[in-house]
Amino acid sequence: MYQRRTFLKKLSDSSLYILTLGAFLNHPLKGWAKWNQEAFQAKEFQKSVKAIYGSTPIESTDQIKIEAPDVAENGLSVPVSVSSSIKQIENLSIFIENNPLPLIANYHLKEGMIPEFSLRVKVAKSSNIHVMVKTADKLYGSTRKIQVTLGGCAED
Amino acid sequence: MQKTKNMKKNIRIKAVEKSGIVTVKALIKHPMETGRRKDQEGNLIPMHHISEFRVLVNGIKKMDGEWVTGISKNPYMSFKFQGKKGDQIQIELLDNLKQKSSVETIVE
Repeated sequence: MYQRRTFLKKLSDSSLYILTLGAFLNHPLKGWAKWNQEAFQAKEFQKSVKAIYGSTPIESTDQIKIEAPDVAENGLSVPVSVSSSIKQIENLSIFIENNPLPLIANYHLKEGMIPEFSLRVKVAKSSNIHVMVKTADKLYGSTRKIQVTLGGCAED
Repeated sequence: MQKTKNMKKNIRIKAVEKSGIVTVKALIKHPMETGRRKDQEGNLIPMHHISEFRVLVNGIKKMDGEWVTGISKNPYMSFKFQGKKGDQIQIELLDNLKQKSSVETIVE
């Protein structure tokens, strides 16, 4: 009986393995970005950073430029431009510290991309904007303050 | 407030090359509901946002990423890459209701 059980167990394990492998092979390059549930649903900035980058130390740098108005009248649509002169960036993410969900965007870059992005974001209340940039071996961060007259994540 | 049921092909895109650098600008029509707003009857409007996007140049993935409700309604995105005139750009979007949308253009 024992042997039969082990055999069945092994069988189910290996078929699971084959299935997973199959699923992996089925969507190689065309796959969507991996949605990081934990990072995107974290309600605190620090938690969100941890969920996405682990406990890698963040090095402050002036090589990441964040352009945004000092005072934004309408928090529903605040133009933000991010650029960096750091080479070989693999990942770039944008956080608005005081938003209900601080992580708002995460970009994975391949060769040939120039790290220069513009977008419009919602800012709930005056807050720090953090931009993190990850290279193969380091994590850099930069911060900028933004003041908002009318919040962009109103409850109603 | 009416919530958009279908994510139609409503992305406007423009890509221009200048000295080896292609600048792409895209404007996407999407409600980007946070899930915190209420309609006139006081019911919560469910979350509806673009969750993932990817950019392919000549069929090769150059960038992908995730967005969440913190991006403004009718999102605007611009990005740059090393490219040339005639490159084919494709942007594909997926929202949290699993509705897909995509747009293609040729670099001018």
